[in-house]
Amino acid sequence: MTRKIVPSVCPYDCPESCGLLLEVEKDRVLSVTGDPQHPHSRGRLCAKMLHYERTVHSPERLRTPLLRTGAKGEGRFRPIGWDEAALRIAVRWKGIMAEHGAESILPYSYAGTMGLIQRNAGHAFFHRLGASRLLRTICTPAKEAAWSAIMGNTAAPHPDAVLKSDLIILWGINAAATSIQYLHRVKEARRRGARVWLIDTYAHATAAAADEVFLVRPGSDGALALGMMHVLVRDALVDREFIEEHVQGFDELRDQVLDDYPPARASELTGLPIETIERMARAYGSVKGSMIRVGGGITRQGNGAMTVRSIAALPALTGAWLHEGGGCFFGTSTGAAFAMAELTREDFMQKPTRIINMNQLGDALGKDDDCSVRSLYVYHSNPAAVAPDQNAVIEGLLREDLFCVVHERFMTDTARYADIVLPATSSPEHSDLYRAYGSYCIQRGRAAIAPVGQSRSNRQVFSLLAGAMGFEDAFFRQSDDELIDHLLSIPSPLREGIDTAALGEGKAVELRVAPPGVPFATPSGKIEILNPVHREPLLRYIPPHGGALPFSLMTAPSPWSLNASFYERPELRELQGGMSLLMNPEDAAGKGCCEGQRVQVFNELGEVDFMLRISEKIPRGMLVSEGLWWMTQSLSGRGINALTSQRLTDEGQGSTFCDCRVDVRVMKQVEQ
Amino acid sequence: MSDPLKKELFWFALLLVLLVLSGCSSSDSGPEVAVFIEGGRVTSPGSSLVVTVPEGLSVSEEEVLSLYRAALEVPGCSTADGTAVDLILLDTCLLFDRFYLFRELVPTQLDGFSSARDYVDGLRLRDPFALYLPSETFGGSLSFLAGERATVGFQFSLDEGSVSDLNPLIISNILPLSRAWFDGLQVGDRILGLDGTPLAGLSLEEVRALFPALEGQASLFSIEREGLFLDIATGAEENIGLLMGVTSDIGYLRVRQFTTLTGQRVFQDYDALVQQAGGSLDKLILDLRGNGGGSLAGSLVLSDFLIDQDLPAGTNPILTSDGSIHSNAVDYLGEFSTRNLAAPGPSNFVVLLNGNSASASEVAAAALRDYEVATLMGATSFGKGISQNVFTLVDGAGVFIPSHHLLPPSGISYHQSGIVPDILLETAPVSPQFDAQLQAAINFLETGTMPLTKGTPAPQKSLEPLDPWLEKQLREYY
Repeated sequence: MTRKIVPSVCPYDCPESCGLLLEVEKDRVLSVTGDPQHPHSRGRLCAKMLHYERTVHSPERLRTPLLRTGAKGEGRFRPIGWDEAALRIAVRWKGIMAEHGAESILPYSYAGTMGLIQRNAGHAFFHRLGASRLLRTICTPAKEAAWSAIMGNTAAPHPDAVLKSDLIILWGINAAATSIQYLHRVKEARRRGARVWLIDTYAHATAAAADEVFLVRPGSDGALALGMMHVLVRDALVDREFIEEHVQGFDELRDQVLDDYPPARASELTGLPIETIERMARAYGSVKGSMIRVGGGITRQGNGAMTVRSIAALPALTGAWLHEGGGCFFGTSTGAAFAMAELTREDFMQKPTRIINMNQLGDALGKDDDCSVRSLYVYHSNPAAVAPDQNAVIEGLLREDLFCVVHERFMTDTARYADIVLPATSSPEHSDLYRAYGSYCIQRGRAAIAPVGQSRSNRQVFSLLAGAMGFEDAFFRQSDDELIDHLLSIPSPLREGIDTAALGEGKAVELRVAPPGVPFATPSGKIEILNPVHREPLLRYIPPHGGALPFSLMTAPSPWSLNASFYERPELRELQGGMSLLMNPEDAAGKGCCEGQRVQVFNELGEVDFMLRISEKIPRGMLVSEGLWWMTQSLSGRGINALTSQRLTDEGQGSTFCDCRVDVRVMKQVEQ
Repeated sequence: MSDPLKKELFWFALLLVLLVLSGCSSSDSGPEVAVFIEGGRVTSPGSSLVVTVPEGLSVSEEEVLSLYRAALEVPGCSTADGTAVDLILLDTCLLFDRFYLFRELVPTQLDGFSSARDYVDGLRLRDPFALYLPSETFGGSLSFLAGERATVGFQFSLDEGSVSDLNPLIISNILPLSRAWFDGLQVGDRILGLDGTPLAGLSLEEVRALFPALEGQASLFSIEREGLFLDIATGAEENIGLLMGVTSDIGYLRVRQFTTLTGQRVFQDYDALVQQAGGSLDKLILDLRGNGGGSLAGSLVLSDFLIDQDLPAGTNPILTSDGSIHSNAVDYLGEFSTRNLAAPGPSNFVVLLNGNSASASEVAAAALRDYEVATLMGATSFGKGISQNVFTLVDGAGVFIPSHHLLPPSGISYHQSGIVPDILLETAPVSPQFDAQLQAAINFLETGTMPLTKGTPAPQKSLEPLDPWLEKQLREYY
C-alpha cells in the first residue's frame, strides 16, 4: 500500500484555519505537518495540530452508535447499529412532535468543525422538521455587532498588513494560544522595528512578544480607549483632515462624551496610572501605522460590544486607516464568498420557529411548561462543558423526559448524558469546504481516509435521519462533494479571479478582498463614531455585569487546548498541568493558600475545585484558569462553567464568560 | 510470573529460544535386560524400578521398553522405596537428566513426585525457564514458533477457572504500535466477546482458541470500558515496516516475535521500504520492544541479514556455555545465511529494546551491538541468556528444558542482568498516545543527538517542530 500526502485544513474553531499535509497510508493518518505553500499558515502549526493524528486515531474515539443502559450521566451504554439508532430517534421524535409539536425539539451545535458543509449540516434538516432554532452566539457576536455599528460592512485589513505597522496593540488577546499565525507576523514586524503592546487583564504567554504590557481591570478596556481618546483630542494628536472627510460624529464625541473620561477617570476605572494612560495616548497619537488586534475574550463581558466599539474608534481619530499598516483587526469576514442559504435552507421552514439562545441552554432545559424542550440533538458541540451555568445545564440534561441524542467523536461530558450517542467522523474522514476568520483563505478538503469505526459525518447522519423521518427532498440525498460542487458553481464577487484548479486540488487559495479604505462601507461612507440609527448612537463606558464577590475570574484560553476540544489527548492535558487556578501571591497569602493546594472557587451559581498555582503574572483581585476541562477530568466533577452565568452581552446576545465574580475558599485536607 | 498458566499467559511462549526435538529421549536403546509389561506395569527381575503406564495412553511397547531400559542407567529416575513411577514422569526425568543445564537442581530420586507436571513445577521454584505444558496447550505453542500462530498486541490477566463476572478477562498491557494499539484497545478494557462469541463460561484455553490465529487476521473484540460497551475491530499482530522521520527516510521495522519465518518476512518488509523510499534506505530502526523471543533460528537469520559480514565460527552470537556452537546455529549457518544488508552503522541504525525484549531478541540485539552495527536504545532487556530445548513427551505434553547458556560475541553473559542499551531511555514512558522512545530514536538518527538520558523529563514536553520562539516562550511560561 502506498503512502500519500493529502492536503487538508485544520477544522477547529480558530481564526487561522492552517493548511495541513496529512501523510496517509492504509486509511490511517500517519503524521501531520504544516503546509509550507499555504498562503496564511506557511507551514507553521500549533502544538495541538502537530499531532492531529493522535486525535484522529485516538483510542478514545467512539466507534459505534450507543444506546443508554444506565442512568442519565452515568455513562453506561451498549452498542447498537445505525439503522436501529435512526429508527429509535425517528420514533421518539414523531411521538414528541405529535404530542408537543416540533418546536419542542432543539438542535445544539456550534463550531466543533468549521467546514461549511459539516458545520451547517443540521440546519436544513431541522428547518424541515420545524424544530426550534438555536441562536448561535456563544463566541463573539458582540464583536461583530460593534464592528458593524462603527465600520458597517468594511472589510478587515489583510493579516499581512501588520507587517507594515509601527505600533501594534494586542488588545485582550493571548495570541500564543489563539492566533499563532498572526503572532508570527507581529514578531516579524517587531523584528523590523515595530513596537508591540499587550493590553490585557493578566500577563499571559503572549506578553513575551510585547515591548510593554498594560494590565487593566476586566471589563474596563472601553474606559481606557475613551481616556486615550480624551488625551488625543486634548493634545491635538488627532488627524483633523481625515476626521473631516471620513469620520462621522467626531464633534459629538468630543463635546458630549470625552469630557467625562479624563485620564483620572480612566485611571480609576482601569487601574492604570494616569501617567501611563497619558503616555499611551501620546505614543498612539504620534504614529500613523498603528494596528490594533482585538481578541475575543474582551467581548465576553456585559459591556463587550461597547468596549470594542470604543477601541475601534481609536484609529478613526488618528487616521491610521490611511496607512498600510494601520487600522484595527477584529477578524476577517468571508461569509459572502459562498451562498450559505443553499446549505441552511431557511426555505424548508413552514413557518418561522422559535429561537433559543445557546448561552441560555440551562434556562431552556429548565422550563417545565407546554413549550419546554423535550428533545435535544447535540452535534460537534459539548454544551455540558462549554455552555455557561453548568449546573443548570446538567440539571436539564438529567431530566428523564428529555430525549437527548449526541453525535460526537468522543465520550464528552454531554455524550454521557445522552440517550443515544452517535459516532462522528473527524475532518480527514469527510469532505468539506473551509473558510477562515483570521485570513482570507478558502480551501476544499476531501476525505483522506475511511471513517474510523462506524463513524459518520454530520451530513451523513442528517441524511439518514431525513430518510427515517420520511423527508423526500433530494437535498438530503446529495453527497458532501455534490453539495460542495453546487456551492462552488454559484458565483460570488469575492471568489472572482481565484485559481479554481488549485482549489479543486485541495490547495488553499486567497479571496481577493479590497483592503479597507475610503469610502468606508457604511451608510454614510464614513467611520460612524456617531451611528444615528443605533440604540446607543455614541460611545460611552458601560460597566460590566460584575457582582458582589471579591475576585474576577478569567476563563482564559490555553495553548494546549481549544475550548473543550483536545482533552482526549493525554500529552496535551499533561502540558496543561491539570485544572489549575492562577492567583496573585498577595491574594493567596491573604486567603492563607499555598502553591499546589486544592482550593474551591465559588459564587451563587456553583462551586468548582482547582489546584492553586501562585503567579506574579496575575494582578490582585484576579483569578485565572486556562483551558476548559471536562467534568470527568475535573477535581470535583464540575468544570469552570459551573461558575459562569447565562447573562448576555450588551449587544449581539453573546456570552459573558469573562464577566464572572467569585470568591475562593481553601479546601480542608482530606485524610487519605 | 508465579504461574504462567493462570496469569499473563498469552505471551508465555515468547520467552523461549528453542529447538524442537521429536519424540522421547530414548535414542540409544540401553542394556539388553529382561523387562516385563503386564497389566500396565513394567518390571524387571534385576531391578526395583516399577513403572506404570497410564490407562488409555497410546504408546508402543517398544517405546515403553526403551524408556524403561534407559531409566535403569539413571539412578535419579527411580524411587528409593520401590513405589511405582508414572511413565510420563519417567520420560520427563530422563530428558532432564540428559539435557538440563542446571544439573544440581535435579532431584536425586523420584519419590514424592506423582506426575511430570509435579516434577517440572518443583524445578520451576528455582528455575523459571523449566516448563511443563499439557498437550492441549503445547500444540499451540509449537505452531506459534513455526509462525503458524500469531499473537495479539496486548496481554491480559485472568484468574484460574473460566471467564465470568467475578473472573473477568481484562487487558493488562498494550504494546505501542501494535495493531491493538492502533485500533484503540486500552489497558483496563474487559473483553466480553470475540467475533460474536461471548467469553463467559469459557476456559483460558477455549478463549485462546478464539483469538485470531494467523498473522494479520482480523477479529472483532466486544469490550466493556468504564461502563461503555464497544466493538473494536482489530486483529493479530503482524510485523510492520514503515517510513518515518521528517523526510521519511528512516526505515522502521518492528519484529514482535521470532518465528522460523521471521527472516523472510523482514526481507520482504525491508525491500518494500527501500522501494517506497525511492531505492535506498540509509537509516533504520529495528524495534524489538516487547519481543519476548521465540524461534532462535528466526533471530539468527535476521542478525545475519543485518550484520554485513560472514559470521566466523566461534564468534557468532550463539556460542554455548561449553564453547561449542549451538546445534541450531550449525543449521543456521549452513542453511539460512542467504542475504547481507550493507550495514548502515551505529549512527544510522537504532535497535529499540525494553524490559520485555527477551531471549531471541537479546541474541539479535547483542550481536548487532557487538559487531558495531547498531546503537541500542531503550530500557535494559529482560536478561534471558539461555536457550531451552523443547521435547514432546509420550502423552503429547511438552517440556522446555534450559540446556545452554547463550553468549554474545563479546563473551559476556547478559543472563539475568539483561542487556543495558547504549542510550538508556528508562525514564521515558511509552503511552498508547505517544511513543517517546521511538521519537527519541528518530531524533537520534536525524540529529545525532541524544534527546533523552537518564533523569531527563519525559519527552511529552517536546514540541520539536513548533515555532521555536513560541516553544521557548511557552516553555518559559508554563
